[in-house]
Amino acid sequence: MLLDIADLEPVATFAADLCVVGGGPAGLSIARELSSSRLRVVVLESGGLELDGETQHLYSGPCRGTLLAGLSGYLATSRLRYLGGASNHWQGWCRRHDALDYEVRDWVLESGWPLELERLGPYYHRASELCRVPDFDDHRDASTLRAALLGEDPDFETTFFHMSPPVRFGEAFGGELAGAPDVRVVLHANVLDLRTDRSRRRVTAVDAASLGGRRLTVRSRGVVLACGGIENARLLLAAGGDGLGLGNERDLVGRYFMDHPSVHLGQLVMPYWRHLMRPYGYLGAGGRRQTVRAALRTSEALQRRERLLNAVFVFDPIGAEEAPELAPEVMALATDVLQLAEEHPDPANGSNFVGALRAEIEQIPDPENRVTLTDERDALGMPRAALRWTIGEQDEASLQGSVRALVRSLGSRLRARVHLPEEIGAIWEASVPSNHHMGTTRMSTTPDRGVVDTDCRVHGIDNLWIAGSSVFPTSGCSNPTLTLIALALRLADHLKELLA
Amino acid sequence: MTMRPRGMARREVVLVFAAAAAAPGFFVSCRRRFDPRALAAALAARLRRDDALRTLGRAVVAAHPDESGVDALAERLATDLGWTPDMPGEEFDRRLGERIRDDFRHDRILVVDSWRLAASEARVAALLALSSE
Repeated sequence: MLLDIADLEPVATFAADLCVVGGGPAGLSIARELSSSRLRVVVLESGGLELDGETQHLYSGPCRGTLLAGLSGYLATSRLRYLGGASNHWQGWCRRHDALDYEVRDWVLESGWPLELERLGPYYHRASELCRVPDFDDHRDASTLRAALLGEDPDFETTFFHMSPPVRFGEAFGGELAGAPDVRVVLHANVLDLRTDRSRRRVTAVDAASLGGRRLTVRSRGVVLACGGIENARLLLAAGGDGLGLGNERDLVGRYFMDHPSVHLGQLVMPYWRHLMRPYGYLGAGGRRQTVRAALRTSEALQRRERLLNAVFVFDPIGAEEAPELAPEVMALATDVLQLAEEHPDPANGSNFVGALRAEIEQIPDPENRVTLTDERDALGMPRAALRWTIGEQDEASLQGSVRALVRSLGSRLRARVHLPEEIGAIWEASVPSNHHMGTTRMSTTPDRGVVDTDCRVHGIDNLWIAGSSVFPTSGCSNPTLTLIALALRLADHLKELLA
Repeated sequence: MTMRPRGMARREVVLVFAAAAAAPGFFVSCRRRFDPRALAAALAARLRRDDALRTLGRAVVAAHPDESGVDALAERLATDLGWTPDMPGEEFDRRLGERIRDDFRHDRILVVDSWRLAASEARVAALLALSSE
């Protein structure tokens, strides 16, 4: 059932088994899974069916950090506040996390997921179905697809992103949920508070309101926060209105914020190897959108040997007019060297590739990168969120080490010559956030290390769970959507059993 | 494995090199047994796009003034490649290609207008540029 809070009584109360806050990919995945369970589910969505400026402005807040200097509107624009949430501007990139991402790495502060990759396997399978991409395990399935750009290089592996159409979760599943008798999706319902019992161990009600002044209270046996890495933290910090917040006894809510810096590194020229680059480019033959896109990822061996963070490099073809100075001359040099080393594959078929080089990098979970509340209030009286997000020394050193390794591997195989700014500051100036909000309610086995347990339940609260990439302890270098949906489906299975 | 002249024992080789190294100017005199421009000519003969390489070479020299002497560049390259004027062209190609790979492998990189070049290939371009002036 699809409802608008404007159509309810001015002050309404719903009873339910589960209240899901947020109608994005995580929240709708859970609601959809539970729609056939006979559990009564209420989904509270802040927005309507399309973008609305006033609602979107509820996200606004101050931010500062390395990549945010020119992006004062980062908080207001990096998420979309209407049914479908962030999937409404999702580019569709899907890739599993890597095995090493889940491990404790002694060179990465607070690394290690309290989950084993294998346990997520079946949920990745189901998440792939929702995202309409093949169920593809890089490590199992990629061997036959390995592009020859670097062959069996020990420092890099060719990896693959699968491109979702992309699925807009509101459009794709809104109709299905509207027809589900036990699911009520309520639009324009902004959560103001999570009320608890006196022990603060149990959420008893969720209070919501519209910008038009309508009020709705949901009393449910369980509550899932699924409204993104900023808002999940904001709601927990603001809950109760007494400054204590919920699940924040150890001052961890909002800390360890991570995004994937989308690092615009520079350009590269590759004589004769254009055919090898085809899987790495965005467009297939005839300008068709590709469903698979290859990239180069730093290998586990390289990360372990040089104590690097995870990183993936992608290539985009560019026109001659975008190529840097001396590109033709460097191409000539690289071509001559290739020819005298008798390495070129087939001059009749080979052609040159000039491309932009970009990296998506992991950053360390840093407790000082965090979401906090400001004194300023939004139109509903909620304290606005503020964000501090900087690139640290280890992040920077890791990027430099990864790039050095890439230059080494591409060069020693006579594949490419790379053009990079000489000052790292110039690289950051050209780089942008990926709008992947992660880590602010991180998963841990004990409450002194994180906010939620391995079932995504908030430590110390019996009936409050978190869905979304805010539970990621580390970010890896993959886009988070596939993994956060896998985790949401796992949570849905857990809740189905628990609340049945 | 160390190459040594036929009929000479390992100990004799060591002694000869030790004595030679003790003599001032030994390595310099060894390297200067050829005309530096002969190496430049050999390079120009092997590399087809020498006009573009000369343009690049001028940028190498501008970015790295320490790589600007024809003699020094030729000596450096000849030493690194083990080049002699009578070296067959195919062998020269092989050694230059391998040296460039090795430069990248060991991070011997020269930065020229933000391009990361193998030190040897940058020196080749610089030598071509300077020897044509």
